[in-house]
Amino acid sequence: MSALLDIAGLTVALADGATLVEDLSLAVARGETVGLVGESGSGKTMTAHAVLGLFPAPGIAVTRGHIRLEGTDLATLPPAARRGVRGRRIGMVFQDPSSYLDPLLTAGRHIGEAFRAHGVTDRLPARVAAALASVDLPASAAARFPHELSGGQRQRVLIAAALALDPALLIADEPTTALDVTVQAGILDLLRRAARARGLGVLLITHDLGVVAETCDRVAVMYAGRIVEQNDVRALFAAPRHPYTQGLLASVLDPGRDAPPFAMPGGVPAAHAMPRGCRFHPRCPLALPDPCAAAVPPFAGGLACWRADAARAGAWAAA
Amino acid sequence: MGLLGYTLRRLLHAVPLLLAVAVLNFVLIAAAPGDPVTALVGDFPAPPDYVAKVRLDYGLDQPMPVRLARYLGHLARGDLGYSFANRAPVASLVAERLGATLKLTGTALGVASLLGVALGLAAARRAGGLLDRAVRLGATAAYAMPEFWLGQLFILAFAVWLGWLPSQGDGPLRGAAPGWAGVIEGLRYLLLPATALALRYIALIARITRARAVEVLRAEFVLAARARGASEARILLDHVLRNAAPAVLTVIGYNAGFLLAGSALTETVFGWPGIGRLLFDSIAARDTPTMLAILLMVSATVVLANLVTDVLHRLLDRRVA
Repeated sequence: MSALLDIAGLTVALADGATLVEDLSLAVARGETVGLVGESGSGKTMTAHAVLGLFPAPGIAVTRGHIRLEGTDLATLPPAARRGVRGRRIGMVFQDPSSYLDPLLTAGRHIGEAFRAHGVTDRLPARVAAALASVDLPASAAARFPHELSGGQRQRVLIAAALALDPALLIADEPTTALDVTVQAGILDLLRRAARARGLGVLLITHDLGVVAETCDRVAVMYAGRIVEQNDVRALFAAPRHPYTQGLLASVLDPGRDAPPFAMPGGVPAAHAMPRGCRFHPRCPLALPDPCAAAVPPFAGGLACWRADAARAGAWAAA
Repeated sequence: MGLLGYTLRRLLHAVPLLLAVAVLNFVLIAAAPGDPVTALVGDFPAPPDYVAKVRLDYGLDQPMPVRLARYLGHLARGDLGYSFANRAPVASLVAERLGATLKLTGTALGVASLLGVALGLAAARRAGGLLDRAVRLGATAAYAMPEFWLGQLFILAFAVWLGWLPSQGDGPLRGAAPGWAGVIEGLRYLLLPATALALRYIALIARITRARAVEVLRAEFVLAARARGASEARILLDHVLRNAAPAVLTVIGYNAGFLLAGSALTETVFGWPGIGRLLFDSIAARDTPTMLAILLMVSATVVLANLVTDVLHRLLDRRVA
């Protein structure tokens, strides 16, 4: 089966050549939910923006690679055709529903905007009501302004607008990060149900491993613009292979454990200060001067690590 | 609280404010040197008993508090008083001139709003681009030029040197042409003063529109609208214009007083028979009742403009409590 979304060798760079995403390959099948995880600054959001063809600041561009949606390479589409894909074939949900809704427009106008942008202008009130119903909101919510809605309701409005035209792919960028824990579960459940009911492919971007475990079929772990490990969600949680993945999983709070969670030393390097070789090697307990600091590890068998064998026993055991 | 209740409450608050303005104007003018009788009589050596009689006729022999009380009493009954200089009731003088001023300021404000908003949006769309730099430079230059000086330049260039447009008045003195020809003739008279008056406000409105639009275009909700596939034109109309509108309206509303002051200068330069020209003449003639009436009208207009601005702001943005 051909993938719904097929990203191959994607590189996103700033105008001065510094790369935010490098040589990223990732596929999402119909009906599949793929998690893209990593710390802040790892390039997850840039990957999402590259798929949409919208960057939040000028000077950022896709410099290499393909982004195929149902076989069409989005990166080579002219701007007008690209706009036709946004909202119609790809829906996007953002992190903070408060700032991603126009404060002066009603919920209904936001959803109506999605229809109107793609030339659907008949029976709009009924369509808006149906879109609201699909996210468990009453039709009366259409007349509400964002400040009259709760955080969870706002996110539901954004999801309704993103799914209004029945896209094939939904990109959700940290959809629950800005919400209360009690509301998070409801939103995740909604996304799961929508994906199942519509056969939607979902690219879920998050730093929250709990969200990944609950929602995803497959996970790709990103570090400093590159994917370092990719696996089935159960396999990844059961047996993380990359030292970075192992560190991430060890830093999750575990109420059953007395000791404080593990904290990986260091942080993600800035786009202008990427280390040579494996980008993780300055933080890696197993790193060797050669090859780790000298050459980029190839991505093979779902893993990009020179020290895969040594890591099998747990990279951080001594730490 | 409902919008209607808010509007009524604000109108109620305007009454003591305008009363204070009326008292202050009266006291200030009464305290200024010179009086209408000397202005009326002029340098001609008038017999003292004649001057005394005129003073008595106009009630100027009374002490100031008495005159103030009488003025406020008349005002409460809607009587604006009698103009010594024009020998006519102030109300009819003002009514006669009001249309010309409304035509001039209305045209200037309308054109300035449309053009200013359009230029500001166009500049913001490509911030840092050629058009943006041209608009910003032009706006700074236009904002720095006083309307009376600009008006005189216009008269020199378009009326005196080129001879294209009339320089004085709001229409031909006699025999205006009927139908469309008359309308076009009227527009020819309106063009120079309206442009001289509008230029500052085009600049002001373009600058505030551009500044707000640049901010809004960077907002995350605009990114979300793009992600839904909305076109740039729709984003400008639906999101940018709407979110910029409160700031633009506020600037327009709070400049209502300056627009009227500018109109007085422009009317004087172009011989436009409006309220501003009447004010200028009444000051020169020490025509106190006319001065007071016009000053009060200007104050009322400013209060009203601010009220309208605030009501519109509330209509546009329901979050304003």
